[in-house]
Amino acid sequence: MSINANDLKIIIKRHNEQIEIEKIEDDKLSITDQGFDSLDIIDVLLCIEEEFNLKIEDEVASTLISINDYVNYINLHKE
Amino acid sequence: MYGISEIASYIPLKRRNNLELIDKFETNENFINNKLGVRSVTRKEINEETSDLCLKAFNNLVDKSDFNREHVDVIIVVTQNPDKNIPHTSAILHGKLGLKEDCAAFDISLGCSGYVYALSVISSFMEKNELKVGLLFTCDPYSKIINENDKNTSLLFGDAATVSVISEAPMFALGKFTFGTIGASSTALECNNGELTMNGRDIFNFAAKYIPNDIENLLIKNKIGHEKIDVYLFHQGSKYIIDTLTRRMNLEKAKVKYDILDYGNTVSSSIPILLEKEIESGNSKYIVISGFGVGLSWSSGILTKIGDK
Repeated sequence: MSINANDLKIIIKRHNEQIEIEKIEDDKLSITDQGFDSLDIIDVLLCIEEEFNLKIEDEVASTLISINDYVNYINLHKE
Repeated sequence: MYGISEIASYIPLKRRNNLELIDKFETNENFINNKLGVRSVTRKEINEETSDLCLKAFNNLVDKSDFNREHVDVIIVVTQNPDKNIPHTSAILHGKLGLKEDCAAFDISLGCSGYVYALSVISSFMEKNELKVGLLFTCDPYSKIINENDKNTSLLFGDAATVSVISEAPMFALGKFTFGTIGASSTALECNNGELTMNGRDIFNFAAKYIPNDIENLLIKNKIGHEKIDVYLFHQGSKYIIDTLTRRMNLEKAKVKYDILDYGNTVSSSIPILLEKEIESGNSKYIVISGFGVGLSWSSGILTKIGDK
């Protein structure tokens, strides 16, 4: 079953409520342009890897820019 | 029973203000203060060597405790930034301290796990060889190898040195330790051609995934529950790592120390700097210590207060 941006935001908030995922209003825009820093992104990647049992290499991670990019990656690669 | 009698530290007064680098590194005050949790980093003087910083920590020990150097049987220096490759820094320090000749001296090459590892090494070494007094130094001045244009490391690491007195009549007894290594990931934090590089994501993932399980194993090994632990002294990697460990282990925030805002991540010195304050306060009976980083390597232990200052 596929997930959407809202599903992912709920999962990230459950992983770490300190991550201000509610800041991300436009799912198409870069999350760094909407205030996410490098530690937020590292934590989001850990959350996704643990939640969906995925391994996201650094080279791939650097291509994930928006929340929609993360959602598409998850839907394509999760078991 | 061997353990820790006293600790002194030397934290250089010279600081580099991270807030002045916000534009250079395209970051912000919230990230510096609340995520990294390092507002300024200490920097030794250019001509100061690792053994000089250790010597200053020792002088602070003498000032606070009237420590008598005549009876020291062993000194260990934990460092990966020695004065030079040959000889070992502990030998240089032995000379500067003017210690007796029948005194063992050796270095331990470990990073952030080094202090915890070395407590196990020095106490076992002393017990086996019936030694009375040992000095365990930590000093890893990363300013020697930091590229000040590298955001990942320049904003984070500070210089410091500590010395712990190990004796048969300690204030804190040492319990059983845990250890681990993930050598396959050793490139996450390394020095090539004299320059430090760090993959912050790999280090963060390592700490977040491995240390909570290690602490559980430590408590089982020592037959003690979380409810008994008064304080957790984790290696002060960054505020974000400390907050992450606190959350993932569901620990009481008040029991987890964070103290590096004004001096930075001091590698193997971070835990003894915190521990010195615990000795001063005298409030904690059971203390968990856990060091993790370079290697990737980790070691954790439990200290039990059995004596008074």
